[in-house]
Amino acid sequence: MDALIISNFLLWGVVLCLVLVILALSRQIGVLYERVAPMGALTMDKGPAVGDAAPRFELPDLLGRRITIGERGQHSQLLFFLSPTCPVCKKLLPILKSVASTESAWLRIVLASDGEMPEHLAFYKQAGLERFPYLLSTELGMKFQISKLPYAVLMDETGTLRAKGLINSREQLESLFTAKELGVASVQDFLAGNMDETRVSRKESSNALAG
Amino acid sequence: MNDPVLFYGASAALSCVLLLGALEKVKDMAAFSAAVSAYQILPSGVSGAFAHVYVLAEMAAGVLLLMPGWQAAGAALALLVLAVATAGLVYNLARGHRDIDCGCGGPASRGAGASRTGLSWWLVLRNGGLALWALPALSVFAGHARALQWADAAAVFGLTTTAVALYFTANHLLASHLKLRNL
Repeated sequence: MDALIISNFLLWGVVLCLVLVILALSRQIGVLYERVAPMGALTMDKGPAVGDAAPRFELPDLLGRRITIGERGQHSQLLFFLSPTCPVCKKLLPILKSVASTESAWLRIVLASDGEMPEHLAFYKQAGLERFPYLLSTELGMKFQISKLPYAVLMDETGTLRAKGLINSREQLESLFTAKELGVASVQDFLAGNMDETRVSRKESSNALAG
Repeated sequence: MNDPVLFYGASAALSCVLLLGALEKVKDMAAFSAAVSAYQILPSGVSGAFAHVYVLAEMAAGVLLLMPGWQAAGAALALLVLAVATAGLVYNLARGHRDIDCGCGGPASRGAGASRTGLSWWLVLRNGGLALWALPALSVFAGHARALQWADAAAVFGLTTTAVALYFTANHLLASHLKLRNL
């Protein structure tokens, strides 16, 4: 009998210690979340604003197909600006391919760059990018005012610009999709608690869903 | 109040902690000597020798705590070892030397990518908790000791393992607390 009583008391002691450990752990997790808040893609305050209609283009890609940009269509469009000479762009290519397959239900990715055709064609073949249309147009970059690479612009089905930013990682690429889903201009905006704008764009995005 | 379960469980757990700590220090004696001299209490010539003596004392306390009849001596030695470490800790905390390796984290502080642990008052609290484990072995049985039953084996085993696990959990929590502080 004594053995059971002692064992019971000890167990309570252990349970209390464990509860304290769990408390400390949950506090640490809370602090961690505060310190490591998500960092979305950096948006430069240039070019067409989020929420505006995207500039329209109809351009031939490297293989000669006609590609339209900013048109009303069935799918959203991600315009990804890159260059064969930018190392970060190369790092992002596998991520782009994986995103293209996981998001294929609603998204089409279009690559864009400018410069000499042969160099880009070699890059296009070598990197195995045949599944993506690849546009060569200085005007396209000028219109969207792209100054840093790799840069991505997300347009929805109606041809409205939904998010854009400098992309260095998968997290930042996905932050564009999150921004579109939440109806905010950027994840930074969302974290800053820009509530008015959020409400308006939420309405917009629910309209877009209904339509 | 004392009970054989508490007596054996606490002694075994304290012994495990001391022996594992000593093992960890022996494996990287140079690092521990460096940690001792970083405390800047002893003259630089003595700190290497002190590190060796300290580890030996830690080991002896661990072994004594497991030997029937010697537990009280082991517990006293363990208290002494803890007191020396805690005194060094408190002295450096009091004069504001926080960013030194405490040399006391056990295996938790040597994990992949783990940096130097640093000092905090939580370490003092942890050592205080460890010191409590020495008490059952020190206090004399009041009256006759209860005869051990088969169920006590499970209790002793469970108490020992959970106590050691809690100690290492506390070390991990402390390490991440310090990392968060520097984030």
